[in-house]
Amino acid sequence: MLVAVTLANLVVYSSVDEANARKILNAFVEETGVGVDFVFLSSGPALARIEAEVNNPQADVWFGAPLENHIIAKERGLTQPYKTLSVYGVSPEFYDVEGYYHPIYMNPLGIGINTAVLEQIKASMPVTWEDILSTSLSRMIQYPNPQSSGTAYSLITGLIQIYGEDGAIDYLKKLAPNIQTYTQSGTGPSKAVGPGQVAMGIQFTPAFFQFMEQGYPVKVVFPKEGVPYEVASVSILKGARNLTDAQKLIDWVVSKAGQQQIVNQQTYFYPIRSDVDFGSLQPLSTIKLLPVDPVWAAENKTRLIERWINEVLPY
Amino acid sequence: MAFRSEETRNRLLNLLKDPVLLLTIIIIFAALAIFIVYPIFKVFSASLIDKNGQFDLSAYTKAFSNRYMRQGFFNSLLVAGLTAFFGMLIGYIFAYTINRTDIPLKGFFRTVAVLPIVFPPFIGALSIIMLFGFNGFITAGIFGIRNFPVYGLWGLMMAQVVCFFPVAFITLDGVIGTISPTLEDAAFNLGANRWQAFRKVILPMSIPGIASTMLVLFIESLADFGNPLILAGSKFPVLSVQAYLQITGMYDTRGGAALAVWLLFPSIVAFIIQKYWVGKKKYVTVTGKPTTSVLKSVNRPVKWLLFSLCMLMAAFTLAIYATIFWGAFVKAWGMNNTLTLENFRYVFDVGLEAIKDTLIIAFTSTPISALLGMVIAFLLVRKIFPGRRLMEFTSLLSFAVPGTVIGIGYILAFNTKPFLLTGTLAILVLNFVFRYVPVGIQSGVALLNQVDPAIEEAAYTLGADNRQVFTRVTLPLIVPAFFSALVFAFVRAMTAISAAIFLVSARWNLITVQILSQSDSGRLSEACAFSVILIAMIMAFILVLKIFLKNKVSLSGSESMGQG
Amino acid sequence: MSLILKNVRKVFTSYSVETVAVDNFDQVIEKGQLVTLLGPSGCGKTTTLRIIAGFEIPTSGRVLLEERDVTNLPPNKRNISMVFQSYALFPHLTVEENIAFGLKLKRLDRSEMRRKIVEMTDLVGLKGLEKRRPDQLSGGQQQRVALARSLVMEPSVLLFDEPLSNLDAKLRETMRLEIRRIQQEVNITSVYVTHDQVEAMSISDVIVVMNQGKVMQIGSPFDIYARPENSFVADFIGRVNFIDGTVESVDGDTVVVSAGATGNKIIGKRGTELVPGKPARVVLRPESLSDRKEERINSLSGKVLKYVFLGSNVEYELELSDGRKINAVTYNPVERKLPVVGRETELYFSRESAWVIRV
Repeated sequence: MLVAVTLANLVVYSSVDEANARKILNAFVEETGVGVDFVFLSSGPALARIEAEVNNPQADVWFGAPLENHIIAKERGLTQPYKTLSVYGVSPEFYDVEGYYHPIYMNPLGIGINTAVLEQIKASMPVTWEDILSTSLSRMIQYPNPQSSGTAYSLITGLIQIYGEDGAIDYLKKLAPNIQTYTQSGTGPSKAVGPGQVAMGIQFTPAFFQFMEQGYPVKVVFPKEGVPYEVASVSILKGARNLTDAQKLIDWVVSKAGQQQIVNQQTYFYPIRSDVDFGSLQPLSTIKLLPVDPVWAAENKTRLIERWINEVLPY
Repeated sequence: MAFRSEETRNRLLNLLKDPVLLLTIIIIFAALAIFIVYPIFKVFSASLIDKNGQFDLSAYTKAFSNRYMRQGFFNSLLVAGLTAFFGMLIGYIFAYTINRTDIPLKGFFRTVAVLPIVFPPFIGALSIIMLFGFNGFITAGIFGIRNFPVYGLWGLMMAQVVCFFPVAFITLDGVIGTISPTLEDAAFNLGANRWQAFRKVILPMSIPGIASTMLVLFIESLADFGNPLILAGSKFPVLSVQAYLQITGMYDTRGGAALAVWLLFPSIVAFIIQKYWVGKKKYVTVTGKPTTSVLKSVNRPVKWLLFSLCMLMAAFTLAIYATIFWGAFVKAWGMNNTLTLENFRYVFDVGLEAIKDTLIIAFTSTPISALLGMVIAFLLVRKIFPGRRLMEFTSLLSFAVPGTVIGIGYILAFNTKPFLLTGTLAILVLNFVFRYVPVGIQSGVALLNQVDPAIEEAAYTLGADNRQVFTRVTLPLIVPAFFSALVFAFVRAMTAISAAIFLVSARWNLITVQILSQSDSGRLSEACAFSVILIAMIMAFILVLKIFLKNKVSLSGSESMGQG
Repeated sequence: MSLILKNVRKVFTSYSVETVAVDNFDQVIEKGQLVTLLGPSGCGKTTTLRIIAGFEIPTSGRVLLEERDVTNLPPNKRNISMVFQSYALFPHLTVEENIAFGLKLKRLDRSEMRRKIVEMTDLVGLKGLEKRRPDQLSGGQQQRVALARSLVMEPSVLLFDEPLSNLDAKLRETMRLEIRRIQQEVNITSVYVTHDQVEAMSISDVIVVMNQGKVMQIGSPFDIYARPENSFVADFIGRVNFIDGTVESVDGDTVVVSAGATGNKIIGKRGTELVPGKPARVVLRPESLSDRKEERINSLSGKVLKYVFLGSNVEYELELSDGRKINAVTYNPVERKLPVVGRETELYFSRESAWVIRV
């Protein structure tokens, strides 16, 4: 029945948001002729699903979700390795040398600012992380809860690169009076920033660019001390039924052609190759990136989040 | 004792003489075991058994050694309690005002009071923020308040009260509507003033209804997921969201399952109290002709006070919907009010498949759910068979189980042989069928209890077997319950999210999941447009049914249960 | 032999308390008979009827219908029809469709069905109402539909469960004559449950008086009234005076009872086994007492306490010398004089009307 018809198609669990996943995967379909079915699942549910389905995988590929999640998937034996030749020219912190996961794009974390609200409360545009500690921004910032969102955890690990662990916790404590709410989801802040229910939100930036495109008065600032970033990755699931096409997808998306499509399709994602044309994106060279060791980040996650819950949240 | 065994033997012989009945009972038991009990069992076992297959309680001790999680547990109870109280109160005011005063616009109030049954997930909560946030149209726009605590207890409670007070209204409308006005006449006659008549007559008679309503709201609030995800914020953790986040944010299925089990306890306790204690008490003892006495229950000032309160609530409810519609038709919600149809073009471009899938799933699952509800109601009310109580309990159980738990249970249970269902249409349909069947059972049982059993007995003596009695007599008689169940299951299937989010697949997707993913990626207006389409489709469905059945169906005909 | 109940017993258990609803009911009902189960509410009469119908399963005992054991047959396979107190018409069907309901299940052909429906509507007097729905009919008409619907099935036994108690008094009288007429016309074996003794008397071939699950007496209406076997039956059917005393002598059918403190001797008819020297009870109907001696050999005297003039008769209460109170009725009071309150009066009754039973 249905299964027979769709067996030919590559089944993708996409943790890239629907519209952008559609753009990227359509480009892939056009260039390679491979049929693709995909379903949107944000990274948490996707991992839960993949884990629950391990004995009978429903999908071939997990597309999107930060690299850290793909490390977990690898450790739990949910994925299988594939060494693509396309990784030549890609910076090694973006991929797994064993070939379990591969980069799709990267997103720097930034501060999204609703300029209308900023004017309303007569505050100035921040340039640094220190700037947003200003009392004029009292209850005017949202960022996600690290307990529920990988975005917020990236923020913590990034800040640790700048301030050291205690310094980062201390910084977030000082930031606490300016927080309107910690949102449950990683993209929550943009939903309040766009329609002007808060002045600033801290999260990965594509959603802010999306709001800009739609005409919301939103600007994005990358603080000059540096920002963490996420690498959205892709893995082939263990037991994938359509292995050939899955490998084709990996080959394509890491290749120069695939990366150029990330820009051309107006996804507002940053390519992981430097040999592509960045178009209208703020050049990567002007943003200071803070690399975080994913293994260290994963090992310390529970402990750091506990610290955040106990030391930052009560303020 | 010898006598009893002979009776049992006779009873069994009787049952065996009726293979259709026997088979139906067996099939229903099997289905309930597989699609309700087994997934819940899977969640329990997932939380109790570690990776190596060893029994292990650490997930529980871990979850509750954490102050934050304990806080979540108490917050859940707190917000559930408050929602239950205020939801009931507003529902009661609506029901009382509509039934006991001669205010104008009764039809309008009735409609508004049931409207939030169609509360689009996430977007409903977001529009609360649009109304009460920093630049909220009500708080900032009207009152100039900038720091209204919309995130946390108050915002969440407000959303839940709006979302669930229709349940209260529908139940209490039925309760107050059947208290004969002549009782108040009698009270006046005996020298009571209006307040005394209310306090000594109307209020005591509606106590079971009030208690039952509050317990139902309590359960709904505990299970609610869409509203707290947006509105609770991290300073006010609630357990349903924490369980979800534990699984989806910390990648800890065992811990999440343990939290879910904790959530299950108060829910089941409330359910048992509602079912077996409050539910036993008759709401009203009055039967016979509804006497239309001249309404004089309240004096003029009180009447207009009640009218104003209802109007306020109605305005609030409508404001939420207006906000959603407004979001769907403008370029940038709250920022750029240029009218546009672009959002809908986008929705039909990106979401057409999801809309089709949603309709297919809803249209498949709702008639099955409603019919199954009627069959189970018939068996429960009219048949005596071993395990009848058990069937009743399990069939209503899924109402008390939060959607997140059921969703996790379904993927755990139906991903391996012999029940290999993940990724299929069937898993979504089955989930919806069994999640929303309690609604059908409840309304079927309620209606069947009002139908003289002699009518069916007459059919038996005229030679009809069980199947013929059910199809030719029972079903035609409880057709209103059938259609309320149909409407309700349809609404819930269209707006479900918490369980469904785990069950959608590449081939079968839902509008609600689209709303979530669109708003996650910053396309709020598109998410609003999806919501508008969702509301429009549900309204169209109800309208068609109404026209088709000549107004015999309404949302208020059903006792609502089980939030998606 | 149409219907046989063999030692039928039914025990209800609720919260482990056992209630005996029907205790060893044993009865043979002949073809064409109308047997009434009569008793106060809760006496087990309806349960018995429902056991016959198949709605209740007996705790023990068998039900035999035309020599076939139907104890374990579901109601729809017994060929027994039932007329309910609440009429139980199908509200979504017309009169005609109600009557045709069972015929359709039997897959009768159309012309045959039509013929039977016309015949039935004629028999029960529903002509012209065929297209109406139940809610457009009066109570009496509804009960006629229920009757027609059952009769058209030509059942082996027709059951009636208090069919007239939802009707007003006038209609009740016409309808019970009507039911009896139709029952005799089609000669159908019937079991009829009622708590109304007048109804039972006027309609039955045989009355079964029940109390607390037990059969108290089975007999013709005349026997039940004139020859009760125990105090319950005597008291339940009609009005009665009990005069308790001691058996002095028994001679065949004739008993002499010494009636307690008054020292009166009453010569009565023996109703049950009686032993001289043991207590006995004289059952005396108020209308058996007369102020004229004529052939009557027994007498009682007492003071008139009060009386009620009812036109066709006078009811009065007499206080005997030992303080016991006796009710009496005299007919045609216009011809006779009214009693005078406080006056000492002598009343007479015959040997035949003093029915003596064991206490």
